[in-house]
Amino acid sequence: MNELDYQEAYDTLVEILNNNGLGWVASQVDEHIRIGKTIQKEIETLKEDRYPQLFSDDVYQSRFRKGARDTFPVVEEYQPRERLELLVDAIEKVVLDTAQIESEVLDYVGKNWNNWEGFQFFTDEPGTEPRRLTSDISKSRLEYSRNLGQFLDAVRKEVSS
Amino acid sequence: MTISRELLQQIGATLGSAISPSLSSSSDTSDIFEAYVFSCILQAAQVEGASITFSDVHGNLNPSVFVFRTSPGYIFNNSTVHACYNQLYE
Repeated sequence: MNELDYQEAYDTLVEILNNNGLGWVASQVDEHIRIGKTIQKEIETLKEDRYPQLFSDDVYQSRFRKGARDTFPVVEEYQPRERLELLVDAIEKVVLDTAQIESEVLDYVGKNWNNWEGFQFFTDEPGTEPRRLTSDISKSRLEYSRNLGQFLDAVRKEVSS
Repeated sequence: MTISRELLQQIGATLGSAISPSLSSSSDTSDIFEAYVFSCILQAAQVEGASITFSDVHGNLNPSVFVFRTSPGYIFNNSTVHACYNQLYE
């Protein structure tokens, strides 16, 4: 795969996220990419000469000499392949991990308290419907999430091949 | 493109069903986390041997639905339709 392939796949996934109301995921990944990644880079250090060469035309050379190699944190841009991997990871976290959390929470509360139906999340905005979280919704979501997870794993496999 | 178009289409087809009906903002994932933390508290109380009873703001015991707010507001408001929960530990 070349960089264009990675970018095209990235753009396609971003479009999919936007079409499903998950544009905020793409925005967060974009921000993460914009900031860049911090890596430790080995650099050459310079030491100032205690006794500079008096008769050298090169003032820089006369005052400094090579010191020991050291590591220094630097920020690098993410490569197109890494950007795609970040986006795939983000989709997995948002969709699969949350589905798993929902399922486990509902299982636990449902087993321990009889006649319990689920959660409701309300906003104070008038006219808005509450968001419901019940076992039925969770089961269905978990199943689809697992399917999605398999497709995301397939993308990872193609990226790494 | 080496990543097959079919694979990406399958992702597109599955994603919609794999998200909650309103998992459309980062705050919705925070709501799920809030429910998770709530369940952790319940588990911790059970481990300590506490007896847990739920009641809502109207005094109804063991409501069938646990109501969470998505933002701060007036929890004790007689005019509100939504009966937010309380927990009693003994």
